[in-house]
Amino acid sequence: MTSREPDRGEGRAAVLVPPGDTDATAVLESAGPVSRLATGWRAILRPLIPVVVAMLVWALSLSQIDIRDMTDLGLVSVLPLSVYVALGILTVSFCVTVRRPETHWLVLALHVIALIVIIHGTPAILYGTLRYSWAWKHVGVVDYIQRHGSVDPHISVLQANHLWPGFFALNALVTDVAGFRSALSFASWAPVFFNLLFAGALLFIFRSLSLDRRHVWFAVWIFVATNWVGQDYFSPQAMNYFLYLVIIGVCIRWFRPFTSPIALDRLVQAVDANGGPGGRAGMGGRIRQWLVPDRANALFRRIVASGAADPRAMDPERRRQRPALLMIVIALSAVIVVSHQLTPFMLIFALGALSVFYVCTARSLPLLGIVFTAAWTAYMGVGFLHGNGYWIVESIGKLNVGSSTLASLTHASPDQVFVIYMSRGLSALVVGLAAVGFARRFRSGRLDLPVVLLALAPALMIWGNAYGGEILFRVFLFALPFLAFLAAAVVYPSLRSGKSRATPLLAVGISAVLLAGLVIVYYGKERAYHFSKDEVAAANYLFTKAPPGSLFVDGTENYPWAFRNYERYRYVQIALQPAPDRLRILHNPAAGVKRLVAENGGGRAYVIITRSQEAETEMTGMLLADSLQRVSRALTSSPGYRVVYRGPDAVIFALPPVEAAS
Amino acid sequence: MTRLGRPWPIVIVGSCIAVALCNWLDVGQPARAVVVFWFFLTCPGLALVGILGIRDWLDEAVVAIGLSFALGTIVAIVMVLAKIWSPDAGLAILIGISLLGAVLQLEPGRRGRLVP
Repeated sequence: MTSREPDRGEGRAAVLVPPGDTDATAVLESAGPVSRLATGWRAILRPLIPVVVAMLVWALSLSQIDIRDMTDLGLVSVLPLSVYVALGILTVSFCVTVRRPETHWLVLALHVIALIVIIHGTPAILYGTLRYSWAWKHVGVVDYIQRHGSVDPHISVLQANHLWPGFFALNALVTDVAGFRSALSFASWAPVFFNLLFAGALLFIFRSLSLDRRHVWFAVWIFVATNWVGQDYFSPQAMNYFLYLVIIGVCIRWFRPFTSPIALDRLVQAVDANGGPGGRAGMGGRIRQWLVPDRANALFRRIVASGAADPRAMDPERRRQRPALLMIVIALSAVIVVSHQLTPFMLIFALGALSVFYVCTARSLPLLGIVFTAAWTAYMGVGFLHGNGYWIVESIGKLNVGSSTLASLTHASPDQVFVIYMSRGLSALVVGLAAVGFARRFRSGRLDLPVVLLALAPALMIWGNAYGGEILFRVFLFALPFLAFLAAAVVYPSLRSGKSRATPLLAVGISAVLLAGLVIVYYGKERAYHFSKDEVAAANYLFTKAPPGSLFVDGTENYPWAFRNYERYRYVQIALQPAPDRLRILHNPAAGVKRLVAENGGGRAYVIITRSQEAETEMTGMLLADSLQRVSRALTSSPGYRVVYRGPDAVIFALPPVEAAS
Repeated sequence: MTRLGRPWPIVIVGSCIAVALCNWLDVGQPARAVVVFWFFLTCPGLALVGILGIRDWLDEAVVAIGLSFALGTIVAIVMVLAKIWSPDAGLAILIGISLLGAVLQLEPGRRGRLVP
């Protein structure tokens, strides 16, 4: 057994290399002496020249963009060529420098940071307002906690956010301590912030899975270049996704069973005896012996023996740190449970898969996750289950892939249909690359059991919940880090490969295709996700000037909605009415809206129509093109409606109090 | 010098003083926001994770940021559920946790055991 340091540029964790581990030995040889690594400022600064050039080209491009010209293709329709040139320079530079053993880690990190800033900073800088209506709603829940110091589990609007309030409580505390009136002051930069955190957490995970730093960094790069799902905005799911990655990283870095010739024998014997790694015949083992045929059991034993262990787990320092890290993992799991509905289940599935296959020795964690989730649901979520239990129970056991989101191609605009097909294509490409990468790793003697388990475990959720038609996207999101790791193995399957001159070309080709897909898909709905300053001013007028109890009638919720004083008002959307009611409103807007107000409790009401509502209804086909414009024109000429706000992108009408329909 | 030659306790104590001053003296933006975000993102977690003696700085940083999120959320949610909302009290608790961790990192017996 030898003790060496494999990645001198990134850390100094001692690694115990078992005899015969040719890959590990090779990396130690390839790392070379310390003097070969770039440590001087000149060696760091020179490879950064392309990064600086790319950032300058990108920054200068921003002034050429007029977002008002955006079509249904999204931001990609107004991006000048120079933005793609910047991305190209960055990609080529990264793919060339990542394979050089002397490249300092800081150089690679700055490439990844630059990519994140370009992709996610562009909308934040161009718009100057918070992007995406759900982000505004989340700001509204933070605002509620700031004003009330509590949540209302029985509230009728955004109830789920009050029942899982962890993220909102934290942000209310931060907003208050930072002296801001609203989380709007910083929420626009959440995508950049969270993607930087995701990249750090992925480095943390991937370095436990591969000793090849080319593979590690390229996997992070692929993740950033394919993370199109958009759950990185100001939201609890973004925070929980980071915490999820931290927990997975801790489990596979500190809680892997160790291996050595003796320990491997013990592990196999333990599994043979259907017990835990310690050799105890556990209840799970006995149940499996009873349920699973001999051949399947033998295959299971071989998989466990070949893929579960990590020699670095023998490090005595890591073993000493385990109890404290277990406490940290428990704290993080508890925060995940109180912050979002879906992530706890993803965590339970992931930890369950790692535990069943002996990849994680902290095998009580999935059970603890179940107990936490059940306890929180019993404490806070019962009210939510009363209203939503029927569809949750209904979707359990079903293959929830025919979701409304995927099936909404019929009425969408042609550009949107293209974007939707691109999202499917990009996802399929990542899965395909991961399959090829897995095959290449397998041929070079690597099973990557933890990676495969973590890529597959989220898919179990497809049979658990439709999640409002979004479950496939969420499954992809949680599988993506591990798909990216396998996809990176297409270029760097082992330490001995990836040394030919064609390697950077292959890496550039893959990156270019993925990034092209990303900018189309990630920016594909920006026409609706972007809110102009005029729309923000209109919404601000509505949520500050309207008397409490007023009913807000809007085309859709797709505008800066509910970000302030939101619990004081009632809401109804024209586009979400049953088809006959919708047609009645569009046929005679003045009478139709009045009847809608009467049917929703009457009283004082306001109608708000904005550019972004029109964009959403046109892009998705919720209403015919120009429908909301026609409503706006009709109300303008109707005597019962008074215009209280009019700007280039928004108009607000006030109605005299309407009697409620009996 | 502190554990493993790293200045974490000094950084944490300095950050605690800075965030307390920013809050109580009502310092203007953007200085206050920078200090507060830095504190919430790193200090409570780093103070406790620093005790463990994790040698790799990236591992330490990622776990510390995760724990900072967790501690901040736990403090905030307890105040929300107990209906005792007080940003000053929440900040004071997190400063207390951070200072406790920093002191434990400086504790001679622990330092002697961790420094090789």
